[in-house]
Amino acid sequence: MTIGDAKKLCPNLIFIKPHFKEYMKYSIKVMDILKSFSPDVEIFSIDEAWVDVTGCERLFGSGVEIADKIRYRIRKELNITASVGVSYCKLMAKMASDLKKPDATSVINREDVPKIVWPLPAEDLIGVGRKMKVKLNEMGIFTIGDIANTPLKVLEQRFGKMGRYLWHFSNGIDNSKVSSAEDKAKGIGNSITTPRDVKTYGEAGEVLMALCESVGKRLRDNGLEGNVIEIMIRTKEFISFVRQRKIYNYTDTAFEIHNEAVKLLRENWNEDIPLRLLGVRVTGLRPSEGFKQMSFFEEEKRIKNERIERCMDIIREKYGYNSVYRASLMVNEVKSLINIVSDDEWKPMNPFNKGGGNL
Amino acid sequence: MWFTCEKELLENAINTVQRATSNKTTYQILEGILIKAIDNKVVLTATDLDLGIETYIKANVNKNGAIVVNSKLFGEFIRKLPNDIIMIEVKDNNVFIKCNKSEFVIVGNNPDEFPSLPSINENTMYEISQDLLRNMIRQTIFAIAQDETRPILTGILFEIKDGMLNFVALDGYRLALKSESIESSQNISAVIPGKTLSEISKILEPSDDIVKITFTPNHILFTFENTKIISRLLDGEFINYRQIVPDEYKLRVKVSKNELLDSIERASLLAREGKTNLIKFEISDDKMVITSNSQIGKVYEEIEIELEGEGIKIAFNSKYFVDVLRIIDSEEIYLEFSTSVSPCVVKKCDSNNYIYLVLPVRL
Repeated sequence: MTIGDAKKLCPNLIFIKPHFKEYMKYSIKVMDILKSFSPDVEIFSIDEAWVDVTGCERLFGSGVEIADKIRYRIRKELNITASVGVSYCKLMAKMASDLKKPDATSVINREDVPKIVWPLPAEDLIGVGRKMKVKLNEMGIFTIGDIANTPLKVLEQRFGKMGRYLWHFSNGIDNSKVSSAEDKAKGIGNSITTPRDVKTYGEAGEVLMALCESVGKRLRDNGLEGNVIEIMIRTKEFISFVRQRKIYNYTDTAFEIHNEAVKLLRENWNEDIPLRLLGVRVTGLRPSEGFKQMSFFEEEKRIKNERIERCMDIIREKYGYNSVYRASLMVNEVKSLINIVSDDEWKPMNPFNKGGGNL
Repeated sequence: MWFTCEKELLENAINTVQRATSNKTTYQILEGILIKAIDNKVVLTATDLDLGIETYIKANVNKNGAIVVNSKLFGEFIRKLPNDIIMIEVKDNNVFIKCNKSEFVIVGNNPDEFPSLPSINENTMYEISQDLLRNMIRQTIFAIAQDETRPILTGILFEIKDGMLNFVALDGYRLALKSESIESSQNISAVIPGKTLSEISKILEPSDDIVKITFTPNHILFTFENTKIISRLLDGEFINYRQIVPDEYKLRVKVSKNELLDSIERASLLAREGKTNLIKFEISDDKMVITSNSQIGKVYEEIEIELEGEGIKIAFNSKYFVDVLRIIDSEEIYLEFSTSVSPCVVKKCDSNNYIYLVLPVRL
């Protein structure tokens, strides 16, 4: 439910600002607890992770015992609840963790897949989004079991690679490894769910600027530059898509990232569709070289902006991120977003979504 | 339709028109070649709606007619046939191709669905030799923009001004300008898509045969031998390139083109490894030092030069130098510099019909 919908139903509803910094602090503490059980911990999002406990049985007991120990420690040390799924592969472990919430251990054994997973609605399977659900329903497929019992060929013909994945997943086949190795950052990005619908290029451009500033700063902080600019938008109807373009010269400045992001947005979005979420990401990264190819066009503007951004970096380092921002962001409430932006890493929920996560 | 012709003639004609067939299209018909038999001629046409090529060959036509065949399939089959007489016959949309003991039948498409090329009144004509046109394209086309940020820059400016024909290409970081005198009192300025010129340059022969050029507000027509090439022009105003080319310099270097090219190519080996392409010039008195550093090693190159003016330290993307040194047709060249953040102008020592300008890298 969106904030707007909630307000309609309940006009006196009180809204509380989220505390991302606090969330991050707790997230790190939870992950530390997980890492004390096994070195193989793959962090999937702020509150989800996989732990491979193969070989840890002698130290901590069976999978179920370890799961209970993890829940106990999280509750005792941090006073929060957690649900844990125990299974033979990552996919089923995630499904198991969703079976019972908020504070429980659930188990799915290989032979239990038909009994436990198959009766669930198709959309509970990872990879089945809203659009996919509709398409599956049209084919008479309503449960995960229906997918599993549809011939692989049929799904492949209809959905291609995706069909193959779905068939394997629904049959409980997932051979991916829990990889603790921090992925070498493929991209740096930020996204934000806006407090109000974004309805004009002007507003969207401002939100993008706030995002680009954060992305640019993070690129510079990490000594990286990239040559692929990617935007992600989600409409009010929760339809989201990603568009990207390669640019000729590597960049690490908000100014250039923003230039390209706005172009991509204008080419792919009409103002009459309200937006809920905007994201910007830079990929094609390489270590920053510290030199720039000069151009016949807008060279002075570019140099000026590089100086401005470098100067802002120094001010922000000394006085905090919010101590300075662009005048263009002062007019609207966008500046209040900057705070959130700096913490909210772009992590697409759906691992099949181009650009993030792996399964 | 029913005709016989020599395999080699047909193969060459297919190779020519095939350059205009589109590979990625939603109109299936555009993946085809229109074949038309009229009297003693067979006319082949292909187009992707931006570029259209039409050529004809001599043939023995028994029955006039037309058909559209899939360009790739048809072309490959003809290519693989022995050098002999080919017979092509169309019966109810089936195209029968016979040569010696081979027979091939493919389904054709309705020729009425094939878009006709824009008709152009062949009035204002400019004439230049195939070889010259080929060279003008070759010496400029590498500098067109590869991305669509400014669509106009994906083309080459064709400009006739005061008896000079100028070809100009620029991508924001460098500029190539090639000039030749031409007999014409009329001035004209049009921007021709890079793809068109790239395909034309592959069809042109290094010969003195004449190419006729005609313009309409939206199209350009090249006519040579049996072939006509029609292309859409790019919309919009080209960048005022004269403003970009500096007419003064602080120092000028005279250097052997081949020595410079060899040195830069060696230096760029390392620059390429580091994905940066960065090379540094240090010019002083009678030598030019070229260096390149990357994580895996260093290069040091020294070249003898003649220097007018003070020395300079400046850095470039090596690709931009290699590109021009590979095509410039002069043994000795001038490099003109002003400051380490202003363009370097490359000129031929023996002629002023070519100017290349490249912007440095800010360190």
